[in-house]
Amino acid sequence: MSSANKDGLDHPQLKSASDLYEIPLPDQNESKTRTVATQFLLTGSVVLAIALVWELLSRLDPPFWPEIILSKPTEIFPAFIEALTTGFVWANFWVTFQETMVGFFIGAGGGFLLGTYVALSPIFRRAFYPVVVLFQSTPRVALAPIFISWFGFGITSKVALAATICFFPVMVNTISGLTLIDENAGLLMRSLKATKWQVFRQLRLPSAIPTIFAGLKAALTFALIGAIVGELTASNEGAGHLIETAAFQFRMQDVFAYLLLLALIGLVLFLLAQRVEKKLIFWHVDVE
Amino acid sequence: MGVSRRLVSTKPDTAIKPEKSQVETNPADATNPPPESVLSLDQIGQVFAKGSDRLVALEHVDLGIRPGEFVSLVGPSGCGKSTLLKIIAGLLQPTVGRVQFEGSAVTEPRDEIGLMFQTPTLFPWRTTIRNITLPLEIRKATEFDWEQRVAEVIDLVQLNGFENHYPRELSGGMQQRVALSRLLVSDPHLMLLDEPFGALDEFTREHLNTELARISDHEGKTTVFVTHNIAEAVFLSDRVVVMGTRPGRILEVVDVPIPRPRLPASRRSPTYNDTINRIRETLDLS
Repeated sequence: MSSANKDGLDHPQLKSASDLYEIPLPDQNESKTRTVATQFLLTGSVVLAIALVWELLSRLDPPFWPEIILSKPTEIFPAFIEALTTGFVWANFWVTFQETMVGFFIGAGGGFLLGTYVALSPIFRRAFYPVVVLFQSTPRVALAPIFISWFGFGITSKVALAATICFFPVMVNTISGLTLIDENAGLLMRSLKATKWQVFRQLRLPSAIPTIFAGLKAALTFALIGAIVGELTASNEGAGHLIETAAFQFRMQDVFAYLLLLALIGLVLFLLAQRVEKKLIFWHVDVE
Repeated sequence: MGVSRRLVSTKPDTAIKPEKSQVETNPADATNPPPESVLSLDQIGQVFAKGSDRLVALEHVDLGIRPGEFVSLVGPSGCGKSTLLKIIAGLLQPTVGRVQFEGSAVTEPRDEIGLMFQTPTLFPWRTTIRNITLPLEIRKATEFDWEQRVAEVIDLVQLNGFENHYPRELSGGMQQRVALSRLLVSDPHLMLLDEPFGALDEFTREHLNTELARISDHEGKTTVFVTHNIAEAVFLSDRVVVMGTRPGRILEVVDVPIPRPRLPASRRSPTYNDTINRIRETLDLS
């Protein structure tokens, strides 16, 4: 149905208006997979380019930086593969993962419960909020030494630190999510004579879920930070411990391999959270 | 549901009186609302304190509304029409005066009084049908057959086929239809509409007004409709209450002697234009 036009290019030609329904259009699904593929290709080339420049700079003579400071990608990659296949590396990362998750559930759970209570009780809110803001603006990783001295070198002190760091973003977001509701929706519920519980269950909680979830996502990353900082401060196991030991022994390729592994774990956690979020907040448009 | 109610309603007083007194110019008449009025506003005054200043939002508002009557409150922004609606809904206590509906004072929200806003105020996590049934769920309504009433309302508002859509999948006009269904479903005796089509484009608004007139004729519910659109008020109403600002007060109550049912053609009748002009004059003079 194509023919040469004045501009010498091929354009689809319409013979009748109904032809518009028959012109082949790009397949929606196909274009979607293509977008994903393009994304991988683009990101992949950026990573590859960085690695290449890094490698070249390390191989200059004299090298751009001493190997003792920054190791080469060609050494990090084998170290990464080795770490993946070494049992005790996994055992240590498993410890960190446990600390992170237990800390996250305790901290986020507590933040949600207390946040809900504060949001629903105006007096409690007025009394508590300034204190919350004060804690919120304290760098909580600085609590690491305190928790070590309270709970010792083991898992408990790391869980405590992770939980403390998670607690606040979830609590603050729970409070603001539950209190900032659409004015007319509130009037509607009042005009329907909804009980306090009905307003909470049918209006406040669902409208707060996107905000609460944003807090949870931040908290998940914070929990991992808390666990690692705790381990760096004082511990004899965990990913932080591995990194610290390797750095002491100038095994830079191992340090970077462990960092890479941590980054991947963080990424997986984040993607999981996003999956759950999409399922849970199906009505919310800007989930991405 | 009084299908026949409005189709035969011609107000005896307007039929007898000479043309000019289609307009009730004397507010004193409204002080003693006709005995048949189902909703009466008695010397309503609303004052808001702003620091040391006082803002008089409403002053001496007297109005009686008959059962099944459709009354619009029209006026510029700041004339207190939305405040008045909240007072009638029992959501706001007036500083002075009182509201009576079906023989008892309105001091808090009541089951027989339903409300609709300019924004659809739908819950985005609920489908059309579950948004519509919200009032029934909240009230744990058991006194009538939900399913039948929901189906009836969806038919009436022409939402068939959209029952399982989420609000974000609907246009603004469709969303307001859902909001209207949610209002109708619990069968309120009094409907309070606060600029329900104010945020819609002109074509959608006109179309929905025609629909609302049809629905209103079918349901025969007493309705108070707030708007700043004079044409809309005239098209829909039996009477238009013209309000002025500073302080918010009733300037005039204008009868709309356009026969029912109101159809798109009603907008081309001379009475329609005359009434619009009559209201414009009142507003210009104030």
